[in-house]
Amino acid sequence: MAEPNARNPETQTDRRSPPGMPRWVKVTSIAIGILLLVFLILQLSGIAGQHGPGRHMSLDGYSSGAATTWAVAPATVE
Amino acid sequence: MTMPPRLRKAVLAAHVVTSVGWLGAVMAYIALDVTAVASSDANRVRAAYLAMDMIAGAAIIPLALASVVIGVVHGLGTPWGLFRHYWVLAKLLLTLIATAVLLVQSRTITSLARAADGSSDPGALSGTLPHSIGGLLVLLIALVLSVYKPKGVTRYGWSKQQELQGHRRTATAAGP
Repeated sequence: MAEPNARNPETQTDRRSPPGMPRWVKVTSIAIGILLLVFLILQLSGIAGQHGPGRHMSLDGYSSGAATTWAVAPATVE
Repeated sequence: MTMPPRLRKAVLAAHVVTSVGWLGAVMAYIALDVTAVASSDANRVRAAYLAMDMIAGAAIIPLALASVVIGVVHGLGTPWGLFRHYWVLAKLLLTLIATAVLLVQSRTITSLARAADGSSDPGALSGTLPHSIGGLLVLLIALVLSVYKPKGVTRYGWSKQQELQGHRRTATAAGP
């Protein structure tokens, strides 16, 4: 959704040396790094449980290939 | 290669439409996801899972792919580029990650819909709220980046600007 006329992208810098990384990029990168690290620790330690499609399938006897073989009670389906 | 102004506006309009449509479809999906997790009515829960599958397949995924493709075309066709400004780069990464997670998640959503359709107790399924809320947050961050356009030029963007300014100085010096 970039609006090229909102701020001229060609005039944001006029320096002789390459600009450094802005503070918002550094802060965001550090925050994302910490979140990823926490996620990895939780996954590897098993505290967060299983992560993946199987996590959502908590019905007994369900597996992706078995869905169509379920017996459905007529009273439950309108 | 920079696009002519009219084409640029048209591509920008298409990018806004697909991106906002993606955001709206995700919000509708979350409303169904909450129903699927919170409702105690089995028929309502079953209907919610089936509708989630339809919204994901017919609206969210096509809009996400269109938004990414049109956004890349727009970036390449304007002075913003794709790798010249940190905010554009961040937005590109966010949307690519969101689309990749969405494509993987779509299989889970279809499996959930099938499971709910064939179960007498679909309320036992866990829903997909963490992913859908996470996706919404990513899209909102991308929206904020687009509106505020925080300053910051990458090294590549800086070298491109230097190149452009060098060409301009040469053209001015060699003028009539």
